[in-house]
Amino acid sequence: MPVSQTTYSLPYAHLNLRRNPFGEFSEDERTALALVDIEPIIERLNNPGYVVQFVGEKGYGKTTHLLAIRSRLSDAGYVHIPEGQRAGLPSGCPILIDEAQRLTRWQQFQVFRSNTPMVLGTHRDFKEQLRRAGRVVETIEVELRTDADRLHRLLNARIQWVRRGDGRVPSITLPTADNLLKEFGPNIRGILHQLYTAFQNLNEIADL
Amino acid sequence: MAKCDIRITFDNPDRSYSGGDTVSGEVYVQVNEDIRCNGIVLTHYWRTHGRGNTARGEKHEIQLTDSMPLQAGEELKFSFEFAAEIWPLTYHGHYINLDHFVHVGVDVPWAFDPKHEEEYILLPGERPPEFTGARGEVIEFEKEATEAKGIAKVILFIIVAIFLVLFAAFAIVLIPVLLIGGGIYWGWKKMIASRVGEVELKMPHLVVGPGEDWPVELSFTPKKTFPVNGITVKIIAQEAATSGSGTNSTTHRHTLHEETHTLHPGGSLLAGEEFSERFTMGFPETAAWSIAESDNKVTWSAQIRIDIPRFPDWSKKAELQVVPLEFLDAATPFESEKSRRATDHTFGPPAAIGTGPTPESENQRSDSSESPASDAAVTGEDMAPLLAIVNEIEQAGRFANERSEIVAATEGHTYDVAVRIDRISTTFGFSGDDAAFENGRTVMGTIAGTDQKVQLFAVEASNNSLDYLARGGSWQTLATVKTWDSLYDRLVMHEVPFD
Repeated sequence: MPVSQTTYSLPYAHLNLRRNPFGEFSEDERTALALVDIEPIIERLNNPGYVVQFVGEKGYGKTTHLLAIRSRLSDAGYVHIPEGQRAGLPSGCPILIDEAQRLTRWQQFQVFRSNTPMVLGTHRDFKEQLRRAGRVVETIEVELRTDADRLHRLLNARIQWVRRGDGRVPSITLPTADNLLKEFGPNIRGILHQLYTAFQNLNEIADL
Repeated sequence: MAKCDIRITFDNPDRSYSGGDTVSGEVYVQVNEDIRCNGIVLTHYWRTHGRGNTARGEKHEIQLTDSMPLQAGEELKFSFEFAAEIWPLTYHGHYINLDHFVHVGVDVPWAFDPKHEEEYILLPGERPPEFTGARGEVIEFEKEATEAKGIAKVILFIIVAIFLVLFAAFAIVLIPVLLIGGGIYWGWKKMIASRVGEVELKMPHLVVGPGEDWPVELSFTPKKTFPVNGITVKIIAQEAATSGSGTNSTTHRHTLHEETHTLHPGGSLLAGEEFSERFTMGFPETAAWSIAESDNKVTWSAQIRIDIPRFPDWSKKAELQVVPLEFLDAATPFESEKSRRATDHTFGPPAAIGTGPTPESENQRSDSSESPASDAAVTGEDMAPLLAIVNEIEQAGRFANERSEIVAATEGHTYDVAVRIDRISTTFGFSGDDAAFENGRTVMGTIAGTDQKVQLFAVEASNNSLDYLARGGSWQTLATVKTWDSLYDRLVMHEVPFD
């Protein structure tokens, strides 16, 4: 029989999953799976002039926070500024700007001096500029928000999201989450990549 | 509890369909609470999953029902059928997977829509219209063009034109840099050409099927006598999956396959003596079809290299497109070029460096056509011992070690075997001790009268008789059972040379 007639099985059926849980997820899926404590921030975003900025390296969860906030606020305006490009400022209340370090000076001037509540995801700390513009600023360093317990829940939520049917599925134990955090720090993307490879090599349902 | 529970079943229990087949099944909707639904829609499409950003194909919708009230406790059943797409095919790799889905959604106004999806497996079937039989260039599948993309192209064209005009004004500053760069490149090429002269490389099959014979033609006349470490062709298959975008993007690469064939061993090439050889090698068995989505690529390439010690190498790389055999014309390169092979001594080492076929080996070739193994018909009785082995293997569990034990017990026995031929290729890189197999042929097929796959390494002396056989033909000889290939579920046998 030619190899082109190879019989495939359903993907990851041997793990009772539909796909590798640590692969790339869509924006909607990441929003649905976001495990971030945003309730106090949602409340403070009712105050005019309030700005919260999520500061951290790439892969640390800035975008996840912004997407989670956007999913809760139907009037929010959201923009992600791609590298090397300009993006218009969105309308809405509050305004959510991802990769805010890419705002032009003119855009910073415009948006910082307005009174609209704002959420920034940024590599650069804008605290001083925002204060000079009369804003009330809260800075959250995303890496400090990741602990072993949260990571443990986040990783297992991904596994449950791609569950194929009833019954057992692989899981990540708390000590493993703790070890991953020690190895990778708050670099969630690095952790996901490590686990992607581990799941590719997993031949049967097991607790990792 | 969800407003509805949706279940999708397929009439074909293993969910495997060939391109163009009718995919059919049932959709069950169990209603858990009273709702008004604006319709139930079945959608089928393909989508990638893995480490790269998701690529997806066009969505094809089938309306299962229009707007209607749904009452708690009722179960609705809908039958569906549609023609499976023909491309791309299901692929499960390391960083990239491509699956086909049937998705059912219940449209509930002002609420989350209950939905469910199931995969089905798409295997090679109908040949896509893009494949006309031409193999000389990689075939591009028509993307689902949108008006927006067309406009984007026009805008991009205008931007590039403006940039070029502006660049021209400053080009004078860059001219020295470009000249130096160009000079280095020209000098490099000139150095290589000073040894190998003008190299003519022909790869007539850039579109190739798994397990096919893949031809390469290389000819050049050295300008100087120079040593070579070898002339090789490297076949590489690689996945490249890109996640994120811009500075946040990461491309993950995974090598699926890498093998190097030595077309010509190390030695010296003589000035003025033409090196002109045609090679045919067995392309790897694979189901890793070429995929060319922007963030999910499975690429195949062939790199030919003339490795010159302490000197720049001549090399050339070509992209190949691997598609199922079903998409290609039945006539394989092996069949179409058989007669030329015999006259061109395609598989003999080149005469230019004095390692060509010896008179003895030529005699062996002509003798082989008279070998009793190829002339005498092998009867069912002759094949009985081998068929008993095959039967034992079939009865054994699908565990590689159990089958390997049966094979190990055959050591020292010689069997009559008749092979129904699927394909024949030149044996490159034979890993065994017996030099008789090194320039021989590898016969792939099934043991006549069974479905048992077999890979039979024939000795070089059988080349002449094998080169006149085509797919579907039968070949008989004496052979030993060497091993069990658990990857492809096949027997591996070695021909016993006729003394």
